[in-house]
Amino acid sequence: MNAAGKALSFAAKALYYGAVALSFLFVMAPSVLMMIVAFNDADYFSFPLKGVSLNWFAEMLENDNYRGSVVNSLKLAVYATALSVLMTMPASLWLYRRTNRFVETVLLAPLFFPLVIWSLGLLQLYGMLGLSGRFITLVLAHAVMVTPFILRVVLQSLREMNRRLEEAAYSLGAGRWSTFRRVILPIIMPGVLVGAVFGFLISFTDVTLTTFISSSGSTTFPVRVYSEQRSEGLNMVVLAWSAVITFVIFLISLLGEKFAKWSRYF
Amino acid sequence: MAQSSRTISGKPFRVEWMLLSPALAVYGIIFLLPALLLVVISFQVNAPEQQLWERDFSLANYERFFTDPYFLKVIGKTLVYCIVVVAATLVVGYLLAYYIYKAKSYAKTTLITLVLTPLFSGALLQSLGWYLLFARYGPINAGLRALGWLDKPFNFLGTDGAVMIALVHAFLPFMVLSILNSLRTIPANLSDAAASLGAGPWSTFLRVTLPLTKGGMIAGSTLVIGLTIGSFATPGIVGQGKIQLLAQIIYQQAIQVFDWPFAAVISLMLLAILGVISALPVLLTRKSRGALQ
Repeated sequence: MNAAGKALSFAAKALYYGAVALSFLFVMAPSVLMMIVAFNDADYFSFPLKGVSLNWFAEMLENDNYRGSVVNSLKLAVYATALSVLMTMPASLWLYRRTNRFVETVLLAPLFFPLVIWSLGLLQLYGMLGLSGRFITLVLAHAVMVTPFILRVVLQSLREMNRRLEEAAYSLGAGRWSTFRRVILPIIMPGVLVGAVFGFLISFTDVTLTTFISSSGSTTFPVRVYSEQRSEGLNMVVLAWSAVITFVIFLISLLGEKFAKWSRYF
Repeated sequence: MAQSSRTISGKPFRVEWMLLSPALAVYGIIFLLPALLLVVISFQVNAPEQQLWERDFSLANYERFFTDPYFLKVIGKTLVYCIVVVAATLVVGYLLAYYIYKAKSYAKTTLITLVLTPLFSGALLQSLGWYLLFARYGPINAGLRALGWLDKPFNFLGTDGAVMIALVHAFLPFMVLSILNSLRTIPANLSDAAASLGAGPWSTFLRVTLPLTKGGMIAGSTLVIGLTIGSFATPGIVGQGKIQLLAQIIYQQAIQVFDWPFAAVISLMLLAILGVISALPVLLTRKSRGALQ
């Protein structure tokens, strides 16, 4: 290779690595900023920080309002995920036994169907049934919203399972239920767990669906912050909570990728 | 042998449907019924004091949608957003996916985690981050002033550029993972084969890798278009109410103006646009069909 060619290939490499570095900076910037600003030793957002302090994290635990909405979010996400797992497990067993593209598409549809549209119709339905504002309305809606995520992972775990193990269990005299409990379930359990964590995170962070169908009374943390931000702006307690939640989600992402390689389910 | 075939396909019909029925029942009530309800409401006059079955039917809502230039403009604007966001996520997403794909395994886990974190933190936390980044006294203003490119703080919030950047950021992880997962299906020895036949790295990429990841790019783009058309929280926070995309208009008509039938019409139009866009790649290249799942 001549000198000009070498210079050109060096320039191309520099450009490539530079672009990659900038792209990663772009990906991380908001999360990193969220984690930094909560340490600010001031009553408002400022950059660069006025000083470093842990005051806002102490304040965060004392402030009942926000803690209450975080607890609401956690409860909602746990109930919705549990309900979704309960209906997804049998449904994925069915889909695993009889491959049915139509049923599979229907069950995965909430993934591609804009939440705004669906929640608009759902709010009307709840109004007609006289259920508006009840906690159960949020649980049911979130359960459907997270089902596609859980279904995909559970179904893939079932399809990766060695079919002969199931056959062996039957031929050794195990019934349908005990085959499921003692052979199938232990094998697909990691997949169910990964799906449940997916579902939990999707539900916990949702703004759109919850904004449409929740009453103003008992809202989740994201919805509360969303509506407050539009009217009153942000306060430091919100930023402290956001920093903690972002950090926890970072840890969960890391553990999930390290131990379950869960990025492959997307 | 007879035993095993019985266990896989010979279940009594009734039990099989019982496995599926909880999910189907919940979906029927929570997902399908609301969608049907919207179709009915869209053909009704706006009379919130009346019950659904008492209201008169009319086509006025559709007429209003197609004759009022404002709503057509919002559709046009939303589509422009889609094009920009898909183009940007494709370019940046491919770059990141390719770098992650080539990275060593320990670095891979960390890099994927960096992509997964914004995905899992959701629209609210990430747009709060952008809200602070773009704020008058935020890091971007501070940086630009330090470089001498700005003399006084500029409020980026509420501009199209800021909202587009935030949306590109929000949906980039979906594109990266979509492309990464399709890169992972390429047999490793394929690029060696190309190299041994005399192809340089650049032409191996263009003529082997890129065509084989077309499915991932199409799947990612379809997903990103759907997410952009339906995006609600990000334009709300970063756009500060000044940027009106379709989802914002639907919320406004339904929750603030209480014009449910009209909100239903806009929703169905949004759905129609999405349907056409999702069908495009299938219609254009029949081959890529398998990649859409």
